[in-house]
Amino acid sequence: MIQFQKRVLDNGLTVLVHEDPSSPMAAVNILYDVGARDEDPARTGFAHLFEHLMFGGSANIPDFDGVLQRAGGNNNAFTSNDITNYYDVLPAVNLETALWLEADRMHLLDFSPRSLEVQRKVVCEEFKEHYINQPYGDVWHLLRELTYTRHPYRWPTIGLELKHVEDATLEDVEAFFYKHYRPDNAILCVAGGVKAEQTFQLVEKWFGGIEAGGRPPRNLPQEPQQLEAREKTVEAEVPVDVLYRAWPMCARRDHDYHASDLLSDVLSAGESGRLHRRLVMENELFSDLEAYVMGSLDEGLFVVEGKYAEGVDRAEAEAALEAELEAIRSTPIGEDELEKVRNQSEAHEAFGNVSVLSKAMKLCYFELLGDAADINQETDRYRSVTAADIQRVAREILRPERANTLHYRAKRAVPAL
Amino acid sequence: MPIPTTPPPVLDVQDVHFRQPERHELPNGVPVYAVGGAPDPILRLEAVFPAGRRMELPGEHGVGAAAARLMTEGAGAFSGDAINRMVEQAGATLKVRGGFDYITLHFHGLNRSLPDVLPVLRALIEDARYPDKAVANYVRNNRQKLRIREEKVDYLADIGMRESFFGTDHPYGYRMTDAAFAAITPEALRAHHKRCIATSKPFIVAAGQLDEKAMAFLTDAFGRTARGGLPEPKTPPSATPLDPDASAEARIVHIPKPGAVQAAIRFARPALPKNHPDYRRFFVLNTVFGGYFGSRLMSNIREDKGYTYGIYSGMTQFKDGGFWYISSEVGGPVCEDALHQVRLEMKRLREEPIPEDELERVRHYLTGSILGSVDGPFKTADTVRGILQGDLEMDHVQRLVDTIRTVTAVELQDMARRHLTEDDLLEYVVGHPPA
Repeated sequence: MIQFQKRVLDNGLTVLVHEDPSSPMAAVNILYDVGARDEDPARTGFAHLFEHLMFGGSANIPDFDGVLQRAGGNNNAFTSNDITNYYDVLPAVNLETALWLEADRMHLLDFSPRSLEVQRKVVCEEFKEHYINQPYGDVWHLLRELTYTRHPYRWPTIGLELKHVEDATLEDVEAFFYKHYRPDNAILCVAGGVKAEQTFQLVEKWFGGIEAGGRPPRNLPQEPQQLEAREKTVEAEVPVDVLYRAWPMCARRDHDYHASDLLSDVLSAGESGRLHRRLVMENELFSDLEAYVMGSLDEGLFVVEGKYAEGVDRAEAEAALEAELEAIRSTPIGEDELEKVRNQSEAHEAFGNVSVLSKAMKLCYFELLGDAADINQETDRYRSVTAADIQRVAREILRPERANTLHYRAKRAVPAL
Repeated sequence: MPIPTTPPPVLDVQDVHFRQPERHELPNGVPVYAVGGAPDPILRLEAVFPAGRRMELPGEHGVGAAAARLMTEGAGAFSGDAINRMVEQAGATLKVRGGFDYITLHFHGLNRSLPDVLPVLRALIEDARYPDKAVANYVRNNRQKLRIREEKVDYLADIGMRESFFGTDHPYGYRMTDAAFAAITPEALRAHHKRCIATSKPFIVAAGQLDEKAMAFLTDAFGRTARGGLPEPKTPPSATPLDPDASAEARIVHIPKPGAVQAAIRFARPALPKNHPDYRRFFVLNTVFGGYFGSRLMSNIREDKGYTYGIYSGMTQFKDGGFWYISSEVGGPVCEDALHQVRLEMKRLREEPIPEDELERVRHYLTGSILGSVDGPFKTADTVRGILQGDLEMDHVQRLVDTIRTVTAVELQDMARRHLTEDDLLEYVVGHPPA
């Protein structure tokens, strides 16, 4: 049970505090309700580029990292299609320094051309390191483009192309900041060896004077329901043929999310998941095969991804995969299998609620979903999923006519082993 | 309400409280280092066996890693399928992985289901079977994975640098090849398991809520059969072009990689042994140079020039040697200048004392990160395992904190002159653009 207190400042900033007296550290997590889905299709990759710029100096602090390091802290951030999340972890005695830093850059970022120029280059190198200079590095560009025709999930957070990042201007940066980085569009959580009352006072002191911006309306183009299967084949200089198949699934807040997540666990969690056991170990049709969900805030994807085993007939392997999916659609899973995936999620939750940083991050995320207190309901929500629920969502999601298949093929003739 | 203009004061961390683990001894003498204090009844344990590459027989390549990975594929009366099902049924996770010195068994689960997994755990520690089919499957999949890895410049640079540093037949230096995977046999794996796991003495680090159930589980799993020490292997000294008498060319290796848009750059020189009097001061110097986000390397090569997403330096320590390294992926056209800037930053630390404000920042940063490394049972357990694997003493944390507080800029410049030298520095680049 994670206890916390919540207050909302006059400017709309939501503040959560979790006391963990056993920790000498404090974690400060700020979630901004903006992600790659909020980008202009002609300027993709901007939310992530902006995340880099948030470290480039603010009104009173030219060097964010230096000040935090001086207080014994470290920090990082990540951008997803839905959110941008920043965190600082430092000795609890220096909590106020982290609040000062985060408040200063929420109040007024220093929009310098130099910082923009350098971070544009850094992000372009990140693009090359992770998305170009890697076998299969562009797979999410291809798969998103195939599965989403209108919704902005059709591009990954790094952006559609290098050019969008290269073309970003200071005016774009400034406009983005004032639109999305206002207190009423953020959730702040402090967790660790702190006192709640004193923490609320410090947050009020540093953040209370920042002006609200009015939450920007979000009218994203919705994805029309998919009516027929889509398929795409690409060839590239990769060593092994890989199959990616993605189906639309419900959004994270949907009441079927937990059952869908457990469906992916039945298929693929651990070594005893059905796909691994039957198609990798027993039939040796794939060398690697997994299923997972994208728990995104709008309608997400249920993905199966498999590397074909050496020399197998791909059609035979695909047919065997389809037979496994048919089995889970047509027959309810047994009590044992259900208990297994429930136990696994219980352990996952228990181990995930230990460090002060993961608690702070999760509290912010659950607050964004609707209510931070739901963090304590998560195990029960998984526990209450039934075998019938899993069969129902399997039938709903894993429809052949809604499948999106990407065949990623090796271009050159691979020398036989 | 106005926004305050006076920055808050920064306080010194007065005390880094490292809660030392409780040391228990199981009936057969196996030591357990226990760190309690988790909020829920959960257990995470790591059993660390002296069974990595270092313990392979002469000529064996990849046997330690395969013996580890395949331990769960059949043991005693249980098939691999049964093992995985029983462990996962209990909501637990079990992974065995082989490294350079050790094979480590990682287990975590809910205390209430520990009795359900006990028979499985005992079987795989005492009597792993290595079925032919599972071994063949492992070999085939790893040959395939190798082909994917060998497309990546960072992988090629890491293994190539290690090979150049230690030598091609050295247990820390050899690279896994298609032929090496193909040569792995079930007999070799069984022999390795028997010699290095079934009867050898591991050490165990356990964290979570260490109630009676958890302690009884540890005793029954690891404490019931006789276990003894192993003869130390004769590890050959590391090779090679690091010999100060070798020509400069021998210490610069540039491997082209057609189609690469980035070059993976690595530098390496011998690490200081852990008992070296400069060890802890060099740790502080490394932090200044490339050991944190505000380092000289990161400030120059990422934040000033935008050549890379990241550049780091650090130490890789094994039982019989190790290296200090620099690692980064940079854009092809800026590769030459990046290499030049790295050497320039080394020179700067040799020639100029670190300014006091920078040193103060590093002191606070390091103290905070050490405080974080002993925050909560799991991080504390990780720190304990690092101490034990590194053959360090439990007072290591305190001694490190003392060094961080007292080391001076003059001492650090002296460290740089002694240990940030270029006459024994290996430069290894994969994807280097043609001149």
